[in-house]
Amino acid sequence: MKPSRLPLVTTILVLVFFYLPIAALVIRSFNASRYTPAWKGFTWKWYERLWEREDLLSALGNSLKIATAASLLSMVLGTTAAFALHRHRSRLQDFHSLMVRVPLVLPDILMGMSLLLLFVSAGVPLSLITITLAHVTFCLSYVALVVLARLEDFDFNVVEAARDLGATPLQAFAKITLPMLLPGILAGGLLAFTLSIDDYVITFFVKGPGSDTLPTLIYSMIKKSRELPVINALSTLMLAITFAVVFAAQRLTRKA
Amino acid sequence: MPPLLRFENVTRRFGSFTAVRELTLDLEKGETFSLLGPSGCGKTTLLRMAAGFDRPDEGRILLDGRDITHLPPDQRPVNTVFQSYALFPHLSIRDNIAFGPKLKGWPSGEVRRETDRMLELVDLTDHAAKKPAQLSGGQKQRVAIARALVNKPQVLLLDEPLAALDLKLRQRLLVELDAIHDEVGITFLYVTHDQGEAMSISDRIAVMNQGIIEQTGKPAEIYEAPRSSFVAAFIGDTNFLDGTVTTAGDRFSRCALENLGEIVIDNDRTLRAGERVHLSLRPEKIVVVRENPALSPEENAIHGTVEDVIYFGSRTRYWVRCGCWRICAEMQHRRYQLDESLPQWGDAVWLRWHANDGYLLDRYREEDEALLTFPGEA
Repeated sequence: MKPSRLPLVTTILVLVFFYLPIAALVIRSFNASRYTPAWKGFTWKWYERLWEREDLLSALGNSLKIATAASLLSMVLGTTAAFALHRHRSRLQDFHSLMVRVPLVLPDILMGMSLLLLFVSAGVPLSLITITLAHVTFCLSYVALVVLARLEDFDFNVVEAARDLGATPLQAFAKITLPMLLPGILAGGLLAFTLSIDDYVITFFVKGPGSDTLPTLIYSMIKKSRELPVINALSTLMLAITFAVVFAAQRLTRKA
Repeated sequence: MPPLLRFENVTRRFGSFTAVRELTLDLEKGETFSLLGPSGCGKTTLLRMAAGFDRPDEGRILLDGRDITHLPPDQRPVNTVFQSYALFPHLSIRDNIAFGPKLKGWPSGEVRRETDRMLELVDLTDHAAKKPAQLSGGQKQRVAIARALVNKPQVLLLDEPLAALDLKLRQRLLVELDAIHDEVGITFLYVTHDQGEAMSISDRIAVMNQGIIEQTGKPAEIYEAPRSSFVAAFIGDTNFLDGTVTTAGDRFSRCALENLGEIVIDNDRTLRAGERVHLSLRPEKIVVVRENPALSPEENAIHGTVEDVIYFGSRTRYWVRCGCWRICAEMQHRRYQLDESLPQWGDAVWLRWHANDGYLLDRYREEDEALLTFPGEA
């Protein structure tokens, strides 16, 4: 029997559905026309504009700082959580497991609101730090789940082997466990990075005045239509960064 | 000379399950000692306590006279070869082997020299730069052995080291392991459920069952003189005969088997008339003949009918119905066998054995019959 063409057709349709809007955006970021979608020739000028915009550069700086800090923190906390979830099975851990997974599906609005309430009632001034902490709450779940998946097929005999060969618990962790889990932890961290850098809703709630990130700044710029081409260029750049990071994360998870 | 490794009244419980029960065991310096038993008998628990991965609830473990019961694994001069190899996947073969020496801070020249020597010992010099994933199962196990031995442990603990390998490779590695033992002269504590492995590699064997040691001895002692029905049935195959002593003699006694008449048994202890005895009789000790043989007074012959025949090439196994007994006998074919006509299914035969070939058991439990290839029916 001839293999059915249906899967191929569906795949193409899905890809078109996903990527047509993005392709439109990328193309428009190179269009010399400011207001209309009609093609008026190729240009780099929107990208050049980006570098002249102080507010954009500072927002980019904020986003990168937050994403880096949030992913590093969630790598540490998420890995710890994954270990706790893997090594100890109890009713408390079942609850823990549920609690780690919930942020993946919890509406962002709800998380943003509750975090804002918490910060305000605790008297914490809203700043880059509050944004970072807020991002850690959901990034942590992703790291924990990625690392947990790695732990499922981790042979803990190697840790005993290291101890047997003279390693202290700390040495065994530093020389054996950590290097073996590092690809998983990094993959989780990169995933966290991409999630943090494009988060809008939660950031919107917990950001203080003047501490704009790229997504919040883009949203406020979108109201002025003459800014659109610059936003297109900016979005294309973010897209490129995200693709690069996701690609790296995939390479890491596949390798070992 | 005091024992090198001593387990003293060691007990280990997991919840309500007692894995090891008041066990005492001595290992002599330089010997290969096997813990043999079915899964769950406590042998791996005992090994893990020797390595320091587990602690006894009661009792002590002494190494060279020193109490190591509560010493963490990294401070014990023993090393382990794991069943799953447990090689470090992110390190090369060379770095796997050098792991212990580097941690111990040996000078780099010595680390290199000793690692090279180990690579040579296990014949993996050409693979030194590879990662574990690039090696075959047998090669991985040799790396695991080298990685442990390079530390010059006082005792090498081997936890079912060959269980994951196929039969031919297992036999080859067994011979290699024996050669390595002869070369390095380190004491081996070898845990296995495979009686063939234990018999061929060990100087002494402890047969374990349900957390206790049933019997300790040289392989031949364990095989020829099993003290309990468990040992007799777990190691090799056997027939269990039970009867009542009719006449207790000085060297030989007579004993009546249920609806089969009297047999002669070796009297290695003081038997009294009327006493109930259990006998283990190995299949290969029994000769299957067609004619009623002329017997000396110490020989037995019982009449029966062949019920099953299994031909193995080098030998043939018969199951013979003798009254209510079903007895297994095995004949080696030392001569060109096609010229002989072997007893067939349904043939009437005589089973013949010498009184010395049956062994009186100290302890008999009926459930041990389940360990036989075909549990006997009485």
